[in-house]
Amino acid sequence: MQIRPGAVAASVLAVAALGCDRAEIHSYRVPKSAESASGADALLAGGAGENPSLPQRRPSGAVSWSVPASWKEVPTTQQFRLATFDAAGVEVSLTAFPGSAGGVLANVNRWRGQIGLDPTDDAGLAQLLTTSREGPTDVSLLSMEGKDGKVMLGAIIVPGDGQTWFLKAMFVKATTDAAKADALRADFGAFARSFRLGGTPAGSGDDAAAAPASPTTSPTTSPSNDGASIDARLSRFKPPEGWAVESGGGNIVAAAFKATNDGGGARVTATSLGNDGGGDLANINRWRGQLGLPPLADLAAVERSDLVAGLLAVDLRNADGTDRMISVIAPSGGSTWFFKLRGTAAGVEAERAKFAAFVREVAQGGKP
Amino acid sequence: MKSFPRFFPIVVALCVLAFMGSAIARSFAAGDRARGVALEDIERLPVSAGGRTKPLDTFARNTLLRLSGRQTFEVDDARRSATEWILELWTDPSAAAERRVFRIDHPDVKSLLAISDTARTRFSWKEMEPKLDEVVRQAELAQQVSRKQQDPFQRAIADLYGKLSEYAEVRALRTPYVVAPLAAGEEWAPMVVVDPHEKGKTSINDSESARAFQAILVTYSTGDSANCERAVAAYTARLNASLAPEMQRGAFEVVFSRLEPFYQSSALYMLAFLLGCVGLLAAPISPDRWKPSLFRAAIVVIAVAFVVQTFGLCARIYLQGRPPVTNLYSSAVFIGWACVPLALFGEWFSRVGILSIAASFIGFATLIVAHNLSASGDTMEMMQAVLDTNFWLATHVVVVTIGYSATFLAGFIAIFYVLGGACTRLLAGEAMKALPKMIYGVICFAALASFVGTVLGGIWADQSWGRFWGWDPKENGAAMIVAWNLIILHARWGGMIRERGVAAMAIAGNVVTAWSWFGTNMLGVGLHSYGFMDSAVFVLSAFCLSQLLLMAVAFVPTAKWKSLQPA
Amino acid sequence: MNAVLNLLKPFASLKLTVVLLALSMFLILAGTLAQVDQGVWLVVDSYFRSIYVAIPFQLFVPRKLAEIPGVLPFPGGATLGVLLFVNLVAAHLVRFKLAWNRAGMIVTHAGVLLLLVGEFVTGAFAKEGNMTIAEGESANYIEDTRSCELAVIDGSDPKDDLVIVVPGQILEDAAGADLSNGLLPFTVRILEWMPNSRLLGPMQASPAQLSRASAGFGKQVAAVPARVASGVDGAGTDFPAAYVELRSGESSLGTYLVTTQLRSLQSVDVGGKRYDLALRFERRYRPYTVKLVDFRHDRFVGTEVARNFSSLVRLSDPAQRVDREVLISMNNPLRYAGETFYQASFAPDDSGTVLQVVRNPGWLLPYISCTLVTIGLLWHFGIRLAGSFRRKLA
Repeated sequence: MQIRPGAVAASVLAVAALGCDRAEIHSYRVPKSAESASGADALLAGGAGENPSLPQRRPSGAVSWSVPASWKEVPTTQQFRLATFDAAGVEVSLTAFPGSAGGVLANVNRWRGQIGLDPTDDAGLAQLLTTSREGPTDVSLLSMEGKDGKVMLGAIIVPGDGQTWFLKAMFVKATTDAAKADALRADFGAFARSFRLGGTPAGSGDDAAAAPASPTTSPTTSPSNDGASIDARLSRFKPPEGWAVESGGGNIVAAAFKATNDGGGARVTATSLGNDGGGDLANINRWRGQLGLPPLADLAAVERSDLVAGLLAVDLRNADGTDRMISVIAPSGGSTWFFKLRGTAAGVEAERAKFAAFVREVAQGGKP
Repeated sequence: MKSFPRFFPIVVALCVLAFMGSAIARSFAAGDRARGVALEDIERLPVSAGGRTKPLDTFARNTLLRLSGRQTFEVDDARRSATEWILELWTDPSAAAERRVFRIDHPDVKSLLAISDTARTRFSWKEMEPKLDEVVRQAELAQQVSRKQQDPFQRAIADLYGKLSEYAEVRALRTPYVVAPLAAGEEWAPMVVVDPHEKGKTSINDSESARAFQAILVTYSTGDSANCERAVAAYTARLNASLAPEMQRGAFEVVFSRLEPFYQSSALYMLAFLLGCVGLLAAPISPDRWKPSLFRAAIVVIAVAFVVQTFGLCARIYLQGRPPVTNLYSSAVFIGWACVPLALFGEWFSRVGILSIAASFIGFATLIVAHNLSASGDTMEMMQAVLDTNFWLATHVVVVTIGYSATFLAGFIAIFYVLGGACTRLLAGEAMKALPKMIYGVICFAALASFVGTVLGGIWADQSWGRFWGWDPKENGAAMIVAWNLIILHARWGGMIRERGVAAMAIAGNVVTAWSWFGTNMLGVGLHSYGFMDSAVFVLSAFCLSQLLLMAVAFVPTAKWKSLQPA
Repeated sequence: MNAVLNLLKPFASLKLTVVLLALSMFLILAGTLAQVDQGVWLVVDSYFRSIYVAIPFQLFVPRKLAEIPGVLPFPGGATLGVLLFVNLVAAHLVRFKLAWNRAGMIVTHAGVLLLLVGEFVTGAFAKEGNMTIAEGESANYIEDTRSCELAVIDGSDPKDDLVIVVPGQILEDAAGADLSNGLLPFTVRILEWMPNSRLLGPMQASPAQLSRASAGFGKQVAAVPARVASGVDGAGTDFPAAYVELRSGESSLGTYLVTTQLRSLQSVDVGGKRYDLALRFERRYRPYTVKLVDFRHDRFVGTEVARNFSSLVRLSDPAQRVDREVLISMNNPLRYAGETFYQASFAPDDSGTVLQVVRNPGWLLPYISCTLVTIGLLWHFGIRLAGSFRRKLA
């Protein structure tokens, strides 16, 4: 019989189909692994793409926290409880669940049930919770008193790792003295607020990347909390007569004024730089360069002006006296401010007093 | 004047060369001045955005393009450069807030902003300021709906929000990263950094290059032009010492942006197309003098356009350090480019003139597509790690794109054949015999290029993640082009179709190629989904419909074809 | 011989080639559109590696426009591939003469045949999997997220563990029935099988759901069925789960929830002997270990776009006296023991790496095929083109 290619192909196919990958129950031996049934950390799958997720470690690579000093961690016996602490006899439990874990109301009501209270609604919930934002972490704290003097402290924490974390402590009022209860409340709150996404808890961490600024905030000079900062004073500053606002609100040139006078006028600018702005000497030499003056070797050689008490100021003139600049250096917190008056010799002289008043008011908070 | 037709191509050549010469001269000429300062050196200062080091000029142009749709802005009816705009934004934000740089088309968005002048399309920050809160609220609502399900208003408001955020980021100097790495081990850094510990607090970089940049801005803002230029020169010298290669590329990139080679060549292709069409129309009237003259002129113009476009592509290779096809934009440019030598080669063979018309049409159509794709900003964006340059990837992308070009070229020649042959007498004679041969020849080439290109893609995939063929939509699209070209060839060899059939199927090849090139991107699946366009769906559908209609013309019986009627 | 050739004649027809190519093109289109709603592997298995496929008409019409019921019965990729193979071989046997001017075509077609064979071999024999390793940890097995298995582990031997594995396909087929086998220490009754599931935490699940299990973590979490993953959502992995009742003889050992979403083992006591139970992605253990020493994910400055990924791993295979460090990065895989390890992806927060591990005995075939086809086409068209040149210049 002649061999027909078609038949050959067909039979090869059939054999292959039969031979490959018939699933069967089988067994094999493997070296011992670290996993075991009890005390294993629960692994909750992330579910992104084709990557099976990784075992969670404590503190997990994603979220960290700082435990109050007087609390001791005790071994966890239950699955899904990530940690248990002993706070002077009171048991505090920490658990985490993916996503919103059923929602805040459902969980609070479950806790209420545990201390014999009836469930509440959204309005009641709003009364119970104290919500705050610690950096990127949302923390909701509550304290409820239920039947038989049972007090429950709870915290619902969302650090932004895709999970919701629950912290719970329960004690009986009658058998706990007031001081201990207060200390517990304080420690509990501090612990809850210390949750952070990233390596180090409470404060630093990888969340430095700026989110896009909301367009409503004009991102001008940094709105510092300190009302007495240079920024704030500068924005409140009312220019005296003869000074016209040229520009303002930039990040580099925080403010600029054009002063008109008989001497030919002058320009006033206020700018800031981080830290020491590169060093006083470097800046002074730069200004000297702008006026065509040679640089100086060290600060001792600088002729200081006494324009404003307490601040380093220089009064520079170019070779033929036509160009004059008065600059004041004012350190402030983590940055350095530079106030400059620049113009013809006569123009600058005419504005000198007003400029000094400006610097005193803005840099030192003196009377306007 | 009788011999004018003979000199006509030379005249055209001279005009075109003069045109290009002046464009080149203009791009090398000294730039604008603003506030008494020559902007040219400031334009060349390098910054980093999107991970790529580029001249400030490019960043300013891209940002302005994204916000307003144009690379320049208007001051008192005069057009000023993007660099001037960005400098004003940094040094005098309140003045900059009055510049009309936000493009808004949707009427509901305009009415939300309480803008009375609805005929205008560009608006300023100041005009929108009173209603910004409402914009933010609407945008937050819109962002809760997935992009595919947003209605046009939601999409428009989300776009506007994106533009406003981008504007705020640039104004605050959080982007681009302007602080250059002057010492070894340093990285590009932003001038302004948001404090991670205290919300709302910002700190300003104080390194050497930050201070130098600051000095430039401060002197610019006070109009101290002499010191500004001195500061720029000093900083440039410092940068030349530490970042010499980036500075060189940056200076070249500024010239490249001014020259706009792809825009110039699209204009030239358009001219060539017109010359070719006129030549075709002149065929019955003056077949010996004007027809060859116009065709020759068209070829001359195409040649110049090709040289310009080649320069543009080479410039991109130099600037990016990558093969010429890296994203959808560059694939469009390359497709048009690759058609030209193919067409000219075929032209040499057959002398029908149609090929040059087809090539010039594809040239300017693809450049228009490219132009539309460039509106999203930096066309020389950084490629993610898996697309790192690698011999297989570079050859795959180039060869497969050549395959696309060839299939399109065959399709367009077929369109001319069908329309010209059936509906007009313009192709009577030699053309009717030569064109089908050309179509066949180009399809042979297309089959080879698309097959080899597809297999090279498989080899790259095998080298990169161990899977030669993954049945990905883009891979499938390429396979469909190969299959279609093979079907045409085998059907012709088997006598199942003849000239009309080959032409009709070649036109269908346009649909298959358009599907593979754009359609697969719109499915949003697979490893190749790097382009997302909304209005493109409509354009793609319209294109496919047009091709089907043209195919229908091919089914008119040969006996009725006008160009085949006896004279 | 003539009898054979006569029999092959209808298979050798060029018309058949054109028809088969057209059918293949249509199949590829359908298989591309199907990926909008279904995961790529499902589509590959049902459209391209199957003998027959039912193509829904709805694929070609957007749902928003109209709802179209019904399917089109169509030959699957394997069928078309075999037919093309036969057609090509038959055509050559029947029609082609061995001549120099035909050599190009013969070589080309040989290359095409090899390509078909290559895809067939890949489909049948290639094995892909993942190795997910956290930084500082090691792995000695490869996971295949496309299939799962029920593992019953007997850790009584101090030297190593005995693992009894029930492939997921068997569990799925036995749903609702009892599964027993000489290897298993108990009978497994599958109460509910979920090809993809969602996990409900203690707060989310109802008491009824939590009471389905009588032992193990199923008392604290519950699983509910979820839609099988589709390509467009990005998350291509299915997480199977099941509720199973274990019986030993007449008595019940308890009802357990087993799910691939949790790595914890659950213990079962069978007559004083402890076994550990888990439903996990299919594992293939290897005699060597890969330890992730350092994972680097560089991004372009100021963006999240990846500039490069790389994993510095330590490969140790005591039996082969192998103990060395290797850097695996994009486009630079590690080849060891017939398998290739590619840098594929990474775990959230760069805490670990995901390596794609591929074993494909047919990997060389496409390379040979490409070379053959290129040479063949260049030869064939080259001759034609040269002929045209000669005619033109003459």
